[in-house]
Amino acid sequence: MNLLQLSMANLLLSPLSTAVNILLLSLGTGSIAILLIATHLLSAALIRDAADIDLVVGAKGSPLQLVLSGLYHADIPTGNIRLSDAKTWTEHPMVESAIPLALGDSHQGFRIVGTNEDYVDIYDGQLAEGKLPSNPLEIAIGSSVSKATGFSLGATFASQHGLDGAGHAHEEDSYTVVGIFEASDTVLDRLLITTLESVWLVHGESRPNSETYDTTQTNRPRENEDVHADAEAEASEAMLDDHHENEHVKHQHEHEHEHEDEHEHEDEHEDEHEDELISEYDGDRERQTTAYAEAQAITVLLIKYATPIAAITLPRKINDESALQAASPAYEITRLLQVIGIGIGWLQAFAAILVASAVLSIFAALYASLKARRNDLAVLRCLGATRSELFMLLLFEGVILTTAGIVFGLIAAHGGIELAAIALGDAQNFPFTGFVWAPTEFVLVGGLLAAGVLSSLIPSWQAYSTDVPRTLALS
Amino acid sequence: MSDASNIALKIRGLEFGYSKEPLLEIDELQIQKGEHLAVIGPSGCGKTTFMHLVSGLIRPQVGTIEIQGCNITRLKEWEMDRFRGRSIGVVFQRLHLLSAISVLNNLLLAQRLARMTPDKKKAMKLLDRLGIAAQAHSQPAILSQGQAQRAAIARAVIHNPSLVIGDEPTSALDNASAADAIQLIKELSESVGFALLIVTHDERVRGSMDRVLDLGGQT
Repeated sequence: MNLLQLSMANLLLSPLSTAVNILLLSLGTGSIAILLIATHLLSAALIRDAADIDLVVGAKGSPLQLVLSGLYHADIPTGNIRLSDAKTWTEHPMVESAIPLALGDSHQGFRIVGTNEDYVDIYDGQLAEGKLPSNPLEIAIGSSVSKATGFSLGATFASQHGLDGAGHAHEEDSYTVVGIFEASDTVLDRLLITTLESVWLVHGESRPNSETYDTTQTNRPRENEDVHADAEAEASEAMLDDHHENEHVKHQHEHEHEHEDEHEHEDEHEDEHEDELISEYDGDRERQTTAYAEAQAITVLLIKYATPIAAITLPRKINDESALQAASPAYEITRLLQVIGIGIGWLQAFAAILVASAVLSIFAALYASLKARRNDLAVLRCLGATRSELFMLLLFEGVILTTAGIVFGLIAAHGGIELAAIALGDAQNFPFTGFVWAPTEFVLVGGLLAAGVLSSLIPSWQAYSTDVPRTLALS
Repeated sequence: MSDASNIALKIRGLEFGYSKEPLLEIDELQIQKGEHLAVIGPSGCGKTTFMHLVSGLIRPQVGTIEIQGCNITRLKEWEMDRFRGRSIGVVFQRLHLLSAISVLNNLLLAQRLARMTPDKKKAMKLLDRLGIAAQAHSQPAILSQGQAQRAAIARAVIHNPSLVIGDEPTSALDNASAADAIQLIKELSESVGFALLIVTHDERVRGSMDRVLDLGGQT
């Protein structure tokens, strides 16, 4: 039996009060820890998935939406652009590299990206088995996709139109899995990578009003371009229909950003046009494929600068001199984190109030217990305890309560996040795990321990100052 | 003349008061190891103050108090605390066992505060000798008054002190229990060899002590 054990025994003497104090502190600690972990995971994912891309170029619209859709695959695209328009910038001297992406389809909620090998390289993607797609309708899948779908090499599937997995299936053109990537803890894990040509083929042959090849006015075929007249007319009609659809989606996105409603509406709208267009579609798929191939639309272009000065001039140049939009991921994500940060700040303030209440509660409990135990303290002095030992006895009690609150709070926070991650599975835009330690948690733990010690100081000092003869005389 | 090493407590020229007028004046007092002294006197004569002086909780304005040859009036407060833990045992009027821990742990804590290695075997043996071994793991709150008094006596002597001070240790006990407690503590005093100093109003105790110090009459 030593003083630490005596402190524990004293706390167990009032189990309800001790449990309530620990619970209060756990709630506060857990709430703050969840916010810290979530912020850490989100920031880390955003930085990791940005993969040193300096600029995202796409159709006009919200720049944040462009970055979220083109880089993080966490939003719907702003629209499509002509490959020929994009090429103006891929060959610009300030551009070191430019990777085209064609988006628009998905499978079981995982996005299909038409691109080239450079895209895999920026995430350091390694194949666990198979090869990269090189022929039409070949596809390589990310590790999370493989896990969720159970696909192995040789598996075939039809993609769905749209990005929520609920759209029209392109049954005529099935993809064949030729490669499976190793887990990279990047967005690549949740993507299906194919060639640009495969995306064009699927949309050219299967469905003329594809959203993927929806375009704004800027990438509609111009009159002086050498595009097959009939196919152009048909394609343009389809593009126009989808333009309405996409504008509607964009409008909703800007005002509400509620994807489920958006897609429900989109699907309703889509179904109406589908019937109309399929009836108009005369089966001349060969001619139409040619039209799409010549129109060659992509969704975004991911650019790396050749020179630092490009950061100042290139985005402005693209925005001013073309019908395209250039958005800087660094700027947009900083803006996004600032907006999120305001919300997190309020939540943290609320959690801090919880912690402060818990710390005050510990103070009140220790103070009340001190008053009830004055005789015990006097007896301890008679038994040979020094003033300092009485001080430590009370301090230990405060530190034990605080430590228990912190430990249970952190277990609840990390465990809760891990359980949520398991429940949500692999299809999240930003996968998370409870098995991570945010550096800011060190600050939280240090701050809470300091608060616990502070809350114990007054009761400890009173224990230190116990007037033994007077206390014994009054007992 | 007594052998100096056999003196458990030696007081010389002691004066103490809460105002200019001294409450307590003792020219000289010696207690041998194994000797039993009752301190009596009317209320307000300074019995409790005397007990606090001897246990080093307060310091005299004048004079010296030596316990086992150590002048405790010269010790710093923390040194006195440690000395008290090692060399003095106290039995209180209201027993004051620590309620958060078991009877056995009360004894082990007393050993720890005496800077001894807690000896569970010795503690159990002592509890057995006092007839409360079965209550070793019980919380003090569930003990009878007599059992609690025995436990308090065990805690006061577990670390082999030179001097055990009792502050009205029998005032809350019935006749049988009081006699039993005094008998036990005297037996322990003889076997362990500590001097016993009991502050009391109780005639039953007074009659069983070797000597009496009447602070009202200073005899």
